[in-house]
Amino acid sequence: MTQQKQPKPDKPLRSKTAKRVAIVLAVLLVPALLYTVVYPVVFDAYTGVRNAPLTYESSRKLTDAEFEQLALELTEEDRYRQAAAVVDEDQDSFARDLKIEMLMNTRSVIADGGYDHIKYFRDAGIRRYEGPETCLQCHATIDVTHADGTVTTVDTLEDIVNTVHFKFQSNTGGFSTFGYDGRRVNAEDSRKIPVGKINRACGIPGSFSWTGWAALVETHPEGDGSHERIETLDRTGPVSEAPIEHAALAGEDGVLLRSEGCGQCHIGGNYHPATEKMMPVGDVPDTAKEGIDCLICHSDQYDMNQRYVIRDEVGLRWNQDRSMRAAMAVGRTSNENCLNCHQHNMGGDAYVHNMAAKSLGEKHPRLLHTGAKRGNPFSPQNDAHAAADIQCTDCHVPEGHKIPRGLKGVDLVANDLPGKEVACEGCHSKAPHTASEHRAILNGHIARMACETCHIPSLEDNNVVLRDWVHPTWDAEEGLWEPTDIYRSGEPGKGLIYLWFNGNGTFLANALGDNPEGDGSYDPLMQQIAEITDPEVIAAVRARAERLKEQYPDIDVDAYVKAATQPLSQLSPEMLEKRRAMIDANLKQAMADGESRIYPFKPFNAMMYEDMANQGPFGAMILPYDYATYYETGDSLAAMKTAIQDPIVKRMYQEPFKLYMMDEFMAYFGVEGGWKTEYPIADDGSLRNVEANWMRQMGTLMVNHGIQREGHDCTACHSPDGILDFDALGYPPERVAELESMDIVEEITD
Amino acid sequence: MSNRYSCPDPSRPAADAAIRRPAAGLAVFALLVLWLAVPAVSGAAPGDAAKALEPAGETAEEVPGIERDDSPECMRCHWMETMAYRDRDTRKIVDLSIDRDVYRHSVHADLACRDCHARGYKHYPHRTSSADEALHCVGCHAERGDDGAPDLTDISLEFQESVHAIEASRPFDCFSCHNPHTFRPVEDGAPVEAVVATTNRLCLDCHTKLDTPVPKGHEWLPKPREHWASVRCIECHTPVEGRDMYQPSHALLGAPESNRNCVECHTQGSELLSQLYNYRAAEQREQEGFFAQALYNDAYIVGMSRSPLIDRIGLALAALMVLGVIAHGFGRYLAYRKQRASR
Repeated sequence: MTQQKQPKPDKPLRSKTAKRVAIVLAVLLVPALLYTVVYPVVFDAYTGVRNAPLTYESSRKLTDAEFEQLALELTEEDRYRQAAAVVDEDQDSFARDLKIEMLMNTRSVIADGGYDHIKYFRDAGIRRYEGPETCLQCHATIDVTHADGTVTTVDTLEDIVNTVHFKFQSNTGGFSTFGYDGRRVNAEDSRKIPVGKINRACGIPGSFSWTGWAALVETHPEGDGSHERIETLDRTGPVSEAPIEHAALAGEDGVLLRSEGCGQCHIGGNYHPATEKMMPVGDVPDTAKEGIDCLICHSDQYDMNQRYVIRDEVGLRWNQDRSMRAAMAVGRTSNENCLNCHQHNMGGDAYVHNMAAKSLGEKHPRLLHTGAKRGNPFSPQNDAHAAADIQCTDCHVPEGHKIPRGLKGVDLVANDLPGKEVACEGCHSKAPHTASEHRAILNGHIARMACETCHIPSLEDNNVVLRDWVHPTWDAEEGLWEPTDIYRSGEPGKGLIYLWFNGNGTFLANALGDNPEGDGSYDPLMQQIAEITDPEVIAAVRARAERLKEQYPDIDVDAYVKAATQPLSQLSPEMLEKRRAMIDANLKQAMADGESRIYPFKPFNAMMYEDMANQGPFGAMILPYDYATYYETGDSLAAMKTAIQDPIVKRMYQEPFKLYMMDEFMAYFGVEGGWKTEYPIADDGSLRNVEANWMRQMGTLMVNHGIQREGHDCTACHSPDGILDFDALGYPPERVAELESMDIVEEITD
Repeated sequence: MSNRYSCPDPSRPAADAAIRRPAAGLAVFALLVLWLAVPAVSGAAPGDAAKALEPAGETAEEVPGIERDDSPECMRCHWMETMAYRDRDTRKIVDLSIDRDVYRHSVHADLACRDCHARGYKHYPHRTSSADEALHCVGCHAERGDDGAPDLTDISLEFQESVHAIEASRPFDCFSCHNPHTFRPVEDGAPVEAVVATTNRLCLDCHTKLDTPVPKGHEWLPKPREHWASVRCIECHTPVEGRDMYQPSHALLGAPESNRNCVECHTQGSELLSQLYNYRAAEQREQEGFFAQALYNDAYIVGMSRSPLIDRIGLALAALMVLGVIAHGFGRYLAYRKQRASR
């Protein structure tokens, strides 16, 4: 090619103008070419992530006849549902069936029933659903209504790609999270780094999103699975009453492949999370955008049985339902859509009314996490608002695809609409109690207490408080090794604790606030969330540790219980002193800000492997696990070693990543001197700087759902052994005595 | 005379710029005029308004009422800022909380709870409510005249004739408008806007539907919100006769009797405007001296022209004129000298 070119340019290039034009073009085109063609290739090579066109088996073209058949079925089902919702259940079932049938064939129900898009698809000749491509044919742009009532038209794909639901992080600020160095995370005047679930190594999932995106786990189920769920009623009607028989599902070799990973709840269908969005430049490739699962949020008939891990020639990724059936039932997002994923972090996988957990996948069924992250279900059975058929988006009012999570946040979750409030007060006035004779006094409590404090009386029993990832336990029925839950409880005072909270949190999810009437003794980071004092909890931890010792003889039970219940005992005296000084110097202001009220929190701690080279007074860098290795072998150390050999973790331990974000990350983390890039695996394969520890304090997760109409009664708190420890909450002794005795309460209850 | 229309407004640099452009010397002069005018006409910067309403420091030497007798017992509950309930009839939220600081600065600061609430509050739940405990402001004030409580007999008589007493669908009493736990008359010398805001708040708290762009019954009134912000409702809604600056009439008039004639206010020496604004203007003239008097005597529209821009242009034109006169005089002087020299 070069030989051909040389004789040609002789004449034109002699002209100076042409030369200049060529230079200008080169200046413009070369960087553009580098950016669009070379950068993505270099980026993929550097981070080790892979992209490829994504195909899905369920995306199948229907014949016109099949389309009409499906249209008929869907419309009839919908009419049945409408009619059944009206006809009283409390009657002879045969009579009821007949009535439903009559009603669903009335002119009005026929006119109202069914789904709008069936007609649109019929007219447009759409017989196959191909993901965003299909939706965008009509919905290339959408009108977004903002909080102030203004309306803007935006590119739909851009809108969704830049939401937290897709990229799992945000660097735009608006966090109510404070670093232990006292700086507000990603504040106006700081250098902004992407933070969110994408890069949050967290003790609850025990992994982070690159190493734990999608995994296929070989399990050897033995039992009948009866412990998982007995009741399997579906909202569309009765289905199987039988428990899931994992052993029966296993192949001839007794092996059942199970799906696991962060990707199951995220809308991207790619081989990795939106890694490209972590960088200041570059965009997610179009192939990845084509993997967005519109229907999991927008279809009335999304089949969660299609949500499982598949392996293709490029790697592992999550399958999705791209059937015409799901597409034809598309519409506005309803609670069922949100709960496909979010019941997992509220009620939990084992929650009996978790609908998504009843459809674990027609292949490679998803692993159920038996311990709950929060244990506060949102369902008509367990939440007053769900029972009133209030929609998630009634409170979390979206702007386009951006969904607000409120102004208060303790757990460093990225926020798409940082300035937008989501609060009880949005609907309930400042005098919400209306029926009780004591309504004025009840309303008076709002000055110091959040609604949730009374109206979430407890969490589910399987709410995990202490989890040991280092010493896994064999689950015979599931046929896999799972982290050992040392303590679970949803009881107030045990698995549900009460703290002052003004909306601010720390970088490791600790609620900040202070007692407005306090004597200055409230000191959560040294006391309330840094130690467990309840003797019953300590006894339960000891009992579990003793059982664990049968399996792991090296465990020193006394030391184990001490570390789990008094995690500060793991710090050296110097570190402890530094911690004290940092709290006083850096966090007092964030605690004193605004108005603090007593909120309920789910406390959580985990024993994990940590990189002690990057340790500060509030914790060290947590090291993730490779799910397959962990679940299959129970060798936690090997699982950790496998995970940190992921290319992206290796890059994390190199200079560019250090400068780009890890130094800043560590500063927020309370680790002085920046990120130490000493990779935990030495050249000879030995580990260095790795220790198994409990986090230095408990994380505290906000709980806002699972609201009960009937809250705690007066004596639940106002009695000597009430659920609120007024002393620990920093009240002066005479006020503690007053609050605990409360002769008024006696008068009321007489 | 203080009003916001003549305050220098930093958000309107255009007006200043317009003045500055012609010539530097001219601008300097115009600014000088403005500088002279500003302190004279802007009695109330926004900061002052807030300051003037701030209660004076505590002076009572005796134990404040809220800490006397069994008041602390009441305050065990009633300190709660959110202590309130929604009334089943009015559907409005009734606030039961007593703000200790505000109470201490109210005119009733010396009173203990029991001084007024005599019956039925010893036990919880209370066996009575304020509705049936017959609290009599007028009687109590008469009894306590020696302690300095103002006599409310006249007010009571006026109230008997007011539309609130005659036409109200629900029982209407002093507490319908005045909260005795926070009540404190507006300070003498408080800026007019603050007086207007405080007074009108009393009305608009109930007449919520009037705080709208085209309030019902006031369709004829241009710029209602501007009126709400600068004129007291009672200027039009009380009888003109026998007004007392220090004790506004409580004989509130209904719509038919109220003034709805613009000229009643917007005319020189009008009866209505002779109330608050003229009183204040006179007061201000005494304090601020010549310049304000020269500009604002016999004002019949709030502000010089109701438009800060026109005010400034007017001032600039005046300045230009003076400058022109001076220039003309100076020119003639120069011409005269030249003529003399050439002779």
